[in-house]
Amino acid sequence: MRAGFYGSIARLSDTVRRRLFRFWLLFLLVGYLVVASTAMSEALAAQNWEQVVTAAKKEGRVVVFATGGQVTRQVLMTFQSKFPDIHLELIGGRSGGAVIPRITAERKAGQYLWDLYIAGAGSLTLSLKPAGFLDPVKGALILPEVLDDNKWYGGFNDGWKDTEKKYAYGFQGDVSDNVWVNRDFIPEDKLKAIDELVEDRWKGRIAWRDPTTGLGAGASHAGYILAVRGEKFFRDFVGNTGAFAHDQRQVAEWLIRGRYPIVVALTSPALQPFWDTGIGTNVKPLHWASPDVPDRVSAGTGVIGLINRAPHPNALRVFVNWFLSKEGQEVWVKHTNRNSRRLDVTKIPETAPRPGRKYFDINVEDNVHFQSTASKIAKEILK
Amino acid sequence: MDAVSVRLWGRQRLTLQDVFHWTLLGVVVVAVLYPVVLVVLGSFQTGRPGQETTYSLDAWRFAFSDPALLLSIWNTLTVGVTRQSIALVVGILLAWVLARTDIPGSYWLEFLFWVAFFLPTLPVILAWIMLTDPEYGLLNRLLALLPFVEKGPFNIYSFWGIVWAHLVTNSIAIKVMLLTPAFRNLDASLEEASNVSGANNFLTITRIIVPIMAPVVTVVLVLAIIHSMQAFEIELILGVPIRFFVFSTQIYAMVQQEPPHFPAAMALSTMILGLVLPLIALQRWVTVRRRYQTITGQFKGQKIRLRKWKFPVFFLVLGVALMITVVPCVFLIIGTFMKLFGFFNVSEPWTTMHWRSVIGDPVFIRSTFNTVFLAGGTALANMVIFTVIAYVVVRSRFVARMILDYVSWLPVTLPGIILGVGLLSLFLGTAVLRPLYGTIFILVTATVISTMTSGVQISKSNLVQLGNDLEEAARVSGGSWWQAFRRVILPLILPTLLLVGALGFISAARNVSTVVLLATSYTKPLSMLQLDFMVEGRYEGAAVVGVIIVTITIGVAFVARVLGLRAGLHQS
Repeated sequence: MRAGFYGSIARLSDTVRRRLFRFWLLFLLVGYLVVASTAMSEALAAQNWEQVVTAAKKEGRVVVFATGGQVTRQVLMTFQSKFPDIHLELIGGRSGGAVIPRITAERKAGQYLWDLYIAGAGSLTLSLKPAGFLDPVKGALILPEVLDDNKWYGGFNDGWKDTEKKYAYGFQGDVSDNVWVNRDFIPEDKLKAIDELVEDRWKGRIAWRDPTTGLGAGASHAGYILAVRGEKFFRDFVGNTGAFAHDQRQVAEWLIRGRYPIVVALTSPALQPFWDTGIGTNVKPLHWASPDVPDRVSAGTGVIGLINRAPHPNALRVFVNWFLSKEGQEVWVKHTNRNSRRLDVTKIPETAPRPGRKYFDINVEDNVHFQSTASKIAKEILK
Repeated sequence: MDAVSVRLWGRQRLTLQDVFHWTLLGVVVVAVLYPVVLVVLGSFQTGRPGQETTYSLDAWRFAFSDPALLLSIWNTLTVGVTRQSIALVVGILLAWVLARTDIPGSYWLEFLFWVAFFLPTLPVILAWIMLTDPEYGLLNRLLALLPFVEKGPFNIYSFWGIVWAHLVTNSIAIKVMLLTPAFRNLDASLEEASNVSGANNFLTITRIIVPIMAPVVTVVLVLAIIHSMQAFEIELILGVPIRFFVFSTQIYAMVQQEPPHFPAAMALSTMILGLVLPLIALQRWVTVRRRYQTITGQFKGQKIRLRKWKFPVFFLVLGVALMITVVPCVFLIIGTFMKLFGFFNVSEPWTTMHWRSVIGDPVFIRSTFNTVFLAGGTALANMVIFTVIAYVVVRSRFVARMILDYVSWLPVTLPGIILGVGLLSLFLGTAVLRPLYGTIFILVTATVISTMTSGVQISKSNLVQLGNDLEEAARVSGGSWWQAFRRVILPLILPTLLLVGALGFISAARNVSTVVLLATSYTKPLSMLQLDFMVEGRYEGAAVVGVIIVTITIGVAFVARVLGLRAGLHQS
């Protein structure tokens, strides 16, 4: 009698051997079909992609609105060097809302001139989506690597900022520190946690980026604090404010020079130029006393939306697929110093979300109301 | 122009001149009233973008429900009255000294005030913050070294700091720019007659000079009041941190909301319009109630000798001019070569990386070209169009010239971004202009409209000073209207014409709020490239662009100045 696997097969009856054979045959067939269909869909996707790129080249341009300045422009112009036959027309603005009257007036006059919109979630979910100006983002996504759940933090669908999960996709994800302290002026033992900032001894020593407008970093940070700690804490916190300003550079200088040694709603990229020149190195983030309070995660100005009736639909698809691919997101991270939600690109460890931790996403549409409520309260106290 | 005419009814005839006048009125009314009416109507609109438009008072209720509004109006009034009072007195005195006395180098001292006006506001404010910040300002730290000084006295973040910032940026400079040419056109025989009657220089200025200069002083004052209501850049940087809010920062806050509340911003802007209309009527009453002609066939241009006061006055004027020009210029240029603007204590604080970053930007060359085209086109268009409008208002018998005058005041009453929204609708809603949308010609049209008020009023004030006898003498001698205009009027108004052109050039080169909604990536001027840097908090890059804009503008103004000196009235 033969021993081992073949011996055990030989001991089975003919019927069982036949059934086992059919099972393996079926298994191999299914496996082949899966592999073949994947290969075919990738081949189809590649063929489809080539067709779209060819059509996009015929269209010749893609028109994008993006907030941010020279850095954002440099990032997006990398697309130009990758696809030189598709001219990128980029119009920038200080805020996402600034372009709304322009788009509205143009559409009223029958002019449909825009393809894409990259800005904060607020202008997409509060202005463009209710106006009916947006198309679903997923409809334009072709490349498998863009839709691969394994490539995105929390899966691809974790990036949606609107309630329908269709129109506003957040590709950026930073854990941003809310409060910064200049330890040259306030040593560690005098102030250990954000929770202490409601005490009277800090009255007049705290500065904010303007939290009263319902828009931008100030309102976003204000909304986060209101959401995680409640109205009483928020009111007491804002009540200790010494000053606020719209300009982040102005607020950063106050912090560095010690005019206001505690600052709220400043992002680390605003402090980077100071750190690069060797000053403000003792400016440190301040955290909550309890680790149970979730940190704030934000897409910042890294949310993308597709304008409907786009004049260059194929060029739009080439751009958005490139931009959300590994290559596009690597360029974004490199130039903006902000984290992408993609897992296969360079990470900025200080602000990268850590698996397993709880975070509060202030940008999703369901949480946006905290920003407007916080702004109203801040305005009531500060103005 | 009078020879060609068509009989209408009875004795009424329609001449070519009438056709021209009515066409001009039609074009100006459409170009100005269309966006203004849209802004007023927009203030009554409710409903989100893309949704059906309905009308209500909701936006007005929202705008006026802000508890900070009354205080902001009060702050606007106090800052405005304080700074304009000081600036007007100082401006009149400086203009009189530069135009009427024999201090040396008066023309080039006057040019220094032009340069002060051309400097971009933000870097100038940053320079003064560097000097007068209560904690780390250089002047305060220097004074604190003195044994009897505990703490430096200067605080730029205060009411008086805001007033000072306005005085050293635009308020005094613009008054000197506008008043000096008008003072130069004064007939010296008026002052001689006053002196012969026993009046000293002070009485001559207050009882003779200022009354006869009433049209131009009123225009300057009304323009100053309107600008006071709209000024916001300085208040945003210096006022918001100390919770000193003004009317214009309220409008700015409406637009910065998410979603932006343009109807409420338009409601507040309409309020400015309502407040300004009586001022326009006042200005018109002052202009038409009597004659202010100072340039006649017997014009005598002679300067007053200051004798022993000549050099003290010269150094005083030079000191003022250098303080508002050299101080900010030095810091502006220094700032472009600093790693961090205002931080002298970093290791190796100097760098050329900001210059390399700006000049190496792929859009820099195209933006520079766009700026030159935009500003140059605006300057040329302003010189021609505004002179024509001013001439029709002052010198013609056109029955609707008062309407033309009133309409030409309206563009300045609206804040830049609000005017931009109105102009957007004008260009998209007009079949003739729609094909130009997205081109640089639209930007030129927008900046011409936005600078119409100051250009027309300055031209008007100058034409009011010209006696009719000059033109009449030319016509009586057999010259046509065009020959009289070209050979007599034009040389006399050329300095003012060039001033209007220079102001149009700098306004267009610096304009952001009006063009931001109309520019594309192809037509983007340097001012929007500057905005790119400011959005990122990169003051140094923004300062580099500011230096480039100022250099271009000073170059053009210098040429205009030299041409203006060769033309115009020559004084002994």
